[in-house]
Formats: sequence, C-alpha cells, structure tokens
Amino acid sequence: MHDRHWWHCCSLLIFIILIACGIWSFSLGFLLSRIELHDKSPCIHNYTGSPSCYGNLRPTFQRAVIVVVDALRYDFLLTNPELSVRDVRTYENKIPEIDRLIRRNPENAALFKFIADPPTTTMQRIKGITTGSLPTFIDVSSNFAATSIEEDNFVTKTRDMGRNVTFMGDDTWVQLFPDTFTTSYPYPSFDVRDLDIVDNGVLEHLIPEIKKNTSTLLIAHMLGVDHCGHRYGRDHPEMARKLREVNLMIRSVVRELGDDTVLFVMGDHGMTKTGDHGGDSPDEVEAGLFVYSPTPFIDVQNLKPSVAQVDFAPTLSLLLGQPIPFSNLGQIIPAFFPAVETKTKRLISPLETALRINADQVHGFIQRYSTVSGSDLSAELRDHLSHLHHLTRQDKNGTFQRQNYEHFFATAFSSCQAIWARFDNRRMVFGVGVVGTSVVAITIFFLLTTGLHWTTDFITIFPVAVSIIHFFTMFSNSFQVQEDWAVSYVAQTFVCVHFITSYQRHKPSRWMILRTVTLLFLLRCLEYVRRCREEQSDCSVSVLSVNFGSLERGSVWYVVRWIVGLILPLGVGATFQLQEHRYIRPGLRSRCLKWAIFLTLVLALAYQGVFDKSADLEWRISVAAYAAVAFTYIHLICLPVFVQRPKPKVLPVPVTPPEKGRRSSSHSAHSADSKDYEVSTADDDEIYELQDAIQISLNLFAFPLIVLVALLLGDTWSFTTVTILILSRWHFACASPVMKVACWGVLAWLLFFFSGHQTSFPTIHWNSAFTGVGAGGVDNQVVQKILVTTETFSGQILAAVTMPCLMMGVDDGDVYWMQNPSLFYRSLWRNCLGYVAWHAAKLFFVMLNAAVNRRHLMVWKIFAPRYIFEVFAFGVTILVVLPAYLFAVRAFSATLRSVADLHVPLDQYTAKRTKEHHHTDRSSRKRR
Amino acid sequence: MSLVKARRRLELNKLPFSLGKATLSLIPLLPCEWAGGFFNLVENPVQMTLVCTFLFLLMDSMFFRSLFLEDLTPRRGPAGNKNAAWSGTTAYGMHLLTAVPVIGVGVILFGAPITEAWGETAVLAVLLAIVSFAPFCHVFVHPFNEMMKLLQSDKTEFWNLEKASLIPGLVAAFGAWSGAIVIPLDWDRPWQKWPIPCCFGAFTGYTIANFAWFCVLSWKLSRRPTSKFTPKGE
Repeated sequence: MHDRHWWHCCSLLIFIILIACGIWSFSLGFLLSRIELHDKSPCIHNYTGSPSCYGNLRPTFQRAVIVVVDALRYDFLLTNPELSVRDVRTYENKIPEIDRLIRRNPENAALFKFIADPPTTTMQRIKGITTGSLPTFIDVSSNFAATSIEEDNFVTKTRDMGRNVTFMGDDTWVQLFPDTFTTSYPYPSFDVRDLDIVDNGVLEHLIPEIKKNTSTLLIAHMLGVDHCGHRYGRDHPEMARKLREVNLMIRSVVRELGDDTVLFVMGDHGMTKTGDHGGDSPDEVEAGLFVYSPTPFIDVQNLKPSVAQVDFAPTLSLLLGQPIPFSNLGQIIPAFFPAVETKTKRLISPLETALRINADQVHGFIQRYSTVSGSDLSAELRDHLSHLHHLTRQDKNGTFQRQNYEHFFATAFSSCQAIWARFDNRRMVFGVGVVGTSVVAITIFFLLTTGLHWTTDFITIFPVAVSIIHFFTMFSNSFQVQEDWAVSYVAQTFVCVHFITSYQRHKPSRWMILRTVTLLFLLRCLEYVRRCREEQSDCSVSVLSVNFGSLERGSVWYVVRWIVGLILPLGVGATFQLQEHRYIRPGLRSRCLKWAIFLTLVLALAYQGVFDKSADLEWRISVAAYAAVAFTYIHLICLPVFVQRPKPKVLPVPVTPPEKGRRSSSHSAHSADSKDYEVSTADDDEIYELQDAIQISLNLFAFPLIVLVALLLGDTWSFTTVTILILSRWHFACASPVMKVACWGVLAWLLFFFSGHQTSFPTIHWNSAFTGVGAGGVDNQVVQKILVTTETFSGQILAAVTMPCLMMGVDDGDVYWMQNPSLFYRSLWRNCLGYVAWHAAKLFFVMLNAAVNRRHLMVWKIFAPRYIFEVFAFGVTILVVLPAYLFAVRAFSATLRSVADLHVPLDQYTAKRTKEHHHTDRSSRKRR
Repeated sequence: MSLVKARRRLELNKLPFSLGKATLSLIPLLPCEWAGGFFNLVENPVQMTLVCTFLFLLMDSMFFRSLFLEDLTPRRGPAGNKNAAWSGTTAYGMHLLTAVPVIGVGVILFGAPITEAWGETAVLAVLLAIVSFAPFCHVFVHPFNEMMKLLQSDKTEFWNLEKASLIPGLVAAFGAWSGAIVIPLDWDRPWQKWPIPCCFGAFTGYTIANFAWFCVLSWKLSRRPTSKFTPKGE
C-alpha cells in the first residue's frame, strides 16, 4: 500500500459520511413516516347487531350524504351581508344557501372551520377523513406496492356490515378503496385543466342516487374548485362560477334529503392565494365543514366554531351507529350528541357514552401503536396519556367531567401530530446545508488542486455546464416526469461532443463512426424499452419491453427476442473467452475462474427465457449463478493479479541489455547472439502482457456483477442495458477525465431508465424479488429487498462498478500507470471522488427542490419519490464504488509487486499504443 | 497559395465597416419579429416556420453572406477539387442535399418523433443545413472536414477572425439544441410544439453570434485603427 492510501480512503469516507448525515437529517424533517396498523375495532357489528358496544347511544341517522368539495375553504362558505356588491371578492358570498339554512333552523344546520392536517394533499386528506388518523407521506405498510387503504376506516366498515356505499367523482377514492363501492362513478382527477368534467359527472348522478335512497353512505367528490385554484388562482371569475355551482348543488341536495339522512359538505383542504396546497399555512389548513339534516339534532349550547378533520370519522361512525375506526385520533363533535342531564346516577347521557367509547378507542390505539412502533412514542408520553385516560373515568361527585376528556383528546392528538404531521424545517435546512457545503467544498478542492486553467478549456467546461443545466432542470416537475428523455438527450449530447472532439480528420476510423451511430441509435430506442409513469400521458408500452413469457409462441417478436436472447450472452461469453486466452495465465486457478464465469453466463442465458423453465429449475439455475458470482468474487479478491510470469529459461532478465527490451523483435534480429534474440522475444511477450494487466483485473471485477444484474433484469431489459454499457465504455475510453465522470454519472441514470424504471413507486419491478428465492422455500424478506434494490438500481451498479476500469483506460496502456504508481493512486482517487461528487451534486439539487417545493401540488406524487430514489441511488452507488475503488487499489499494488518480482526495470516496458492522432493534429495545425 | 491570398484578403481595416453592416447583421432577427406579430405563428406553426426559414435564407444570402463570406478565400478550384467533374455550384448543391437527410436522421436520433411529423423535422433539418452547413459548402471543398477542424480548433484558432463568419452557423445549431429544453415543460403553450422552439433557438443563436462577432470585429478594429491586422496564432 502506498503512503497516501489512508488519506485517500479517509477523505472519501469523510465526504460520504457528511452527505449521509445531510440525507439523514433532511429525511427526518421531510419524510414524515408512520406505521400503519391493520387492527380493526373490536366491535364488528353496528348498533342493531351488538348494542352492548354502544350503551344508550342509539344511531341518530340511517344514512349520510358526504359531499367533498376539493379545496373548499372555510371563508368560501361564509356570507357577509354587509359587503356591497362592488367590494365583494370573487370567492366571497357565493354560497348564500348555507347562511340561509343556518339562520332558518339553527338546530338542523351548522358550519365549522374544518382544520386539516398537513400534508394538505388530496390523497392524504381522504385517508385522514375516512380513518380519523394523521396520514403521512410514507405510511409504512406491509404491502408497499398497494395504494389502497388498509387501515380501519368507516367506508370499508360500512361495506363490511353489508350496507351500500355509493361513490361519484375523483377517481382517487377508487384507488384507495378498490372493490368497496356498491356503485361508483369515478372520473379522472389528474388533468388539472379540467374544471367541469368531474363536477358535471357528480351533479348528474348525485340527485338520482339520493332519490333512490338505497345506500347508507353516499360519497361525492367534486374537483372543480381545486382545479380552478390551480389553474387560475383564487381570485378569478371562474372561481365565482364554480362556487355558485356548489351553492346550487347544496340547494338541490337539501331539497331531496330524507328525514333519516344527514348531509356533510366539506373541503378536504384549503388553498393559498395562488391556489396551491400541500403545506401547513392557515390558508391551506382551514377548510370548511357544513352539516345539515331535516331532523333537528344539534345542541346549540355545545357548538364549537372549529373542529379538526380527524373528528369527522368518529362523529360519523357514532351518528350512524357504527364502531369508530381503530386508528382514529379525533374526538366526536359534542354538539351532535344530546347531553341531557339525568337525575339518577346510573344513567349517563348519550354524549358521555359517546365520549367514553371514543376515549377508550383512542387510548387503545395509542397503547397498540406504542407497542408496535417502539421508539416513535416515548414511554413517558404513553404513561402520561394513560394517566389522563384514567382521569376521565373518575367522576367527581358523580358528575361528568368534560374537561378531562377534552384534555385527554387534545394531548393525544397534539403529541401524535408532533410526530407525524409537521415538516421539521430546521432539520431540512441543516440537511440541505450539509450536502450543499460538502459538494461546494469538493468542487473548490478540485478547482484548487487542478489549477484554475482548466476552466478555460471547452472540453472540460462543457460536460460540467451540461451537468449543471441538467441538475437545474430538476426544479421543474415536467423535467422530473420526463427525466428519461432528458437524461437520454444529455447522453446523446455527450456522445456527439466526444465524437466531434476526438474525430480524426486525416484518418477517420470507421469503427468510431459506426459505434457513435449505433450508440445514438440505441439511445433513441429508449422509447421502446422504457416503462411509462402515470404522468406521461403520451407513453405506451412497446411490444419490445413486455415479458418474454407473455409473447405468443412463434410470433415474429418471439423469434426476434429468442435470437437476441441467445446471441447476446453467447457473444459476450465468446468475446470473453477469446480475450481470456490472451491475458490470463494458464493454470488451475485461471481455469477455475474461467469456468465459473462461463458457467454463470450460460446459466444466465438459460434463465433468460430462451429455454423453457419450470419453477424448480429456475430456482436452481439462479442459485447456481449466485454461487458462481460469489466464487468469482472471492477468487478475485484473494488473488487479483493477472500477469504472466516469465518462463524459467528467460531468467535472469538483467542480462538483457536495456535497448533490447525496448521494442520490436524484428529490429533486434540483427544482434549477434541467438540466445539474446530469444530472450528479447520473450521480453516482448512480457511487455505485451503488461499492456492490460490492470484493465483485465478491473474488467474481471465488473464482469460477474454485470452478469448478475442481467440475470435480475431478466429477458426484457438485459440486452439494451448491457449493450449500451459496453458501447459507452468503448466510446468514451479516451475521453478526458471530467468528461468521463460526467458521462458515467449520466450513464448511471440512463441505464436506470433503460432497464424499465421510472422514479415512481408503481414502476418498481416487484417480481425480480423472487429471482432464485421464490420457489426454493427461502422466504426471507431481507434477501428479497436486496434483490429488488439491486434490480431497480442496476444502472447505478453497472456504472459504478465499471467506473475504475473506464477511468484508468489511457492511450499508453497500463504500463504508463506502473511507471507512475503514485499518479495512478491519485487519479483513481480523484476520479472516484469526482464520480461520487457528481451524484452528490445531483442529490443536492433534488433535495433542494423537494425543500423549496414542499408546498407544491406534486410534492407527494413526484418530488418526494424522486428524492427517495435519488437517495437510494446514491447509497447504491457508494456501496459499489467503494469496493470497486479498494479492489482497484489492491489489484494495482499486487500487480506492481508481482511485476517487481520479475526483476525487469519498469522503464523497459514501453507504452504500446502511441498518441498518433495527437501528433497528426499538431502537424496539421502547423501545416495550416 | 491560399495562405498568401487569405492574408491579403484579411486586411480587416479595409473591410467596409459601417453602421449599415451592423444593422444587416441583425437582420436574422426579423423573422422572429414577424413570426411573433405579423404572421399567425400559433395557428399554423409549421408553414410559418418554413416561411421564416426561407425568408431568413433569402436575406441571409442576399445581404450578409455576400458581404462577409466572400471575404474568405473561396478554396474551391481545380487544384483543390478532387472531383473535377463537379463545378462549384453542383458541389455546393450536392453537399447540401446530402446534408439535409443526414441532419434529419440526426435530429430524429436526438428525439424527434420517428413515425410522425416528418414535415416538421424536415423543416428543422433544412434550416440547420442552410444555417450551419451551407457556409462551409460555400467556401470549402471538404466542408465536413473543415467544419470538424473548426470545431476541434483550440482557443487561439477559435478567435482567429479568418473563420469567424462561419461560427454563427454553429452557434445556431447549438441554439437549436438548447431550444429543445422548453419542449417537455407542461405549460401547454402552442409555441412549444415541435419544432418551433428548436427553429427559433437556431434563429436566436445565429443572431446573437452574428452580433457578438460584429462587436468583436469592431472592437479589434478600434484597437488597431491603422496597423495591419494579423490574426493571432499565425
């Protein structure tokens, strides 16, 4: 090991640790997480089924109509008669129906401020309204892929009791509650420009469904107001039109309402002046809730001006005589339950019963959550809550202590809210700051150590500039959605620029032109192998990227795919075998290695769908392939040297005069002694072997991982991925280091998209989790998670593992490095550091974007998943780059040692390839 | 031979330098102006871009090219031309005709739709061929090699004013490249339709580069009011 090895390793590690700290802090502040509990409430029947659960609390209503008007703010519902027509803003005084109903019969109607919890996005709000809990962005669930609500909620509960649930409007509900609705009229919600399609659909079906009177729950979700806000902002004439429509809707619904029915009109969240939502400002949080029933049921004495959004689920459940959802944290709205004072001690009022049921439920949930989650809820807090709950049961003088209940609910709710529902801005700023500072520090370090002169060099500036532009596009949601195209465009630009700068006018290489065109063509083929994400409206999955097994046998594409699947591994294997004969020294060890790798290849080939596979065979094949890969790696790490030692007769070498060893056996032919001649040819062989001594080790290190990833990618994507990797490796072999770093950074993401992924959770290939572990009875979640991660970030893995061997490729061959070992160590370290810094810079921009746009409409749909993918990609990159770096150092020092054992001075090994084109360039300039 | 000629031709202080030329170098701005206001670009984008391209070509070749490009030595001649059967004009045409489909395929490889909108792609290919490649065809026998040479030239050569009038065309190609950045944005503006941003990126790049070159030229001339200008790096 060289003297600066520890400094190199430490600096890499310090940089990585700094970034990791930043990520950790930012994630704590940004990604609010919570564990989903799938417990159901102990009462599984409604009031008529098991009245013991409810005591004297009879259901007040038989049916409920719930109209969710997206982004309906509280002040939209107010009517202020003092405002003159001229002063009134577009959203004020547009729903006078509510004011009229409340004035006419205050016991039938009530209006509340309906405080939503952040994140104020529709999907999270629907979860909150129906379950009574505080959903976060990541609800850790046993089934990560599903979007449906698996927590206890009143919709599923109603359905489970055999009652009818009708739904109309925003199709998010259908995703959240698949197969739950008896009747449903879903409309697409994604198109923000559409103001009327969803609303008109709702208005068309709402009144007829109410008239039918068959469903216990009728849910309607209108999107017009929200979309109007997003498109035009709050103060636009269109907003007035949409609100008048809501007014008309309320009027007609109230007219049709039966006596046993209650109507709720609510906003799921508010909106800012510009119509955005997602954050926790008062504008976004204060939605409105209007309640009405033809039967008087409201205790006006108990009326509060504002209720929390989570209060809705328990209130509705008890009003309909159903159990409260298990995970609920809200408290019932007391005004809806009669609080008649009873003379006798035994009988308690329905309100107290309701509060007691509610408090028991909340207490049970908190106990259960703290046992499941462990650290989220501290033990002191839990004990404190238990104490408060206990207090509610101690009736002083037999009178009912309402403030005890209030105190218990408030404490439980606020402590859970502090854990789940608040961005921690300080942590976010700290995280972004740490990552940003480290990236800037590394950049300054590079600038200082390289000297500032390179900034004037176009070839160096260009990749950096294009990378920075690419990073800045991360601030746009369109570019995050269309990132596959953007990355491919950047990669094509790099390919072209490298072609232009290295094109030899006087000796145009056909191979170079051919591989440039092939590479560009393959990059363009992304259209046919990518997977579509939901937001890409004009995307369709091509027949080229469907599963091989699903193709019709004998069809054209089947044959094409079969041939490609056969040619690719055989071709790569054959190339490898040919090369290996030239480079690897014969012997038992290399034969073992050769067969291990070859076996891996053939097995991967067999696995990739060319042969018929049964589940059992599939399992054996993949396990054998894993074993072969593992064997190869153990072998490589133990014995990384691939230099052919001189044959015994050639020794002692020092006899050879230095000039004999220089070059070309034909010239040394005129030397008098024939023995000398023999020695010099042997030396020539020796010199030849050294040309790629390091390269072959590094290539061998990358090879099994490539095969492994191809195995995981399966028949669909391995072809394009591996081909692009090999072609780019070839194309950029002689590029400048900065270009190589930027290219390989882009290539990592390019291969990510080329292997059929997108930065959204639905496009993760879950079936790859079962490669080799599914049928074999190995049912270990850890293995499966590793497999899915490997498959998803295969691009990052491939780019990172091939990085050292790309970086160390120079025109002069490896002899150059062996003659300057300290230069090798330094440039290897700098390249690895630069590569990690490129990814860290991208991570910084993605992170900054998530922090800045945390109130953006798309934050939970686009930005946050993008951030999570970026973090995972960075982690995977580091986990692969570090071993690759260490292996390169080890392989180099071991090779150096074994070359030193040959007793041939290193300066006798001349560089084989010369920089011919550089000379021609210079001469051409002079000629001009 | 050509070296001597070029030296003789490059007596920049003898070049007609006037406000008129400065105005003329801004002429490529006009299509953009007209397209924005005068014509209805939004309703019929492809035809309008095409019209702009041809107007552009017309004005460019009428005013600008005849004024500036002719200052360069036309290297075409019996000595330099390997294929003597082609006269200068034929070679020019043949080169351009070959360049259009090649550029078109290149544009498609860079992400233009494959099976549709061929007309639009062709418009951009024609525009790029005319703006970037035609000057090289006009001057050199081997335009592709010369273009590569200019692209590969280092700093000192790049600021050599001898070939400076060829650079705006290349900047126009870069403008077309960067124009594509706005296409994926979800603003739903009619001018985001393929290939309008690229075409106008090319126009913009060309105009800016022309103007910049003109500024550099006048700066250099003002610094050497009397002495003979000798390019750096020679």
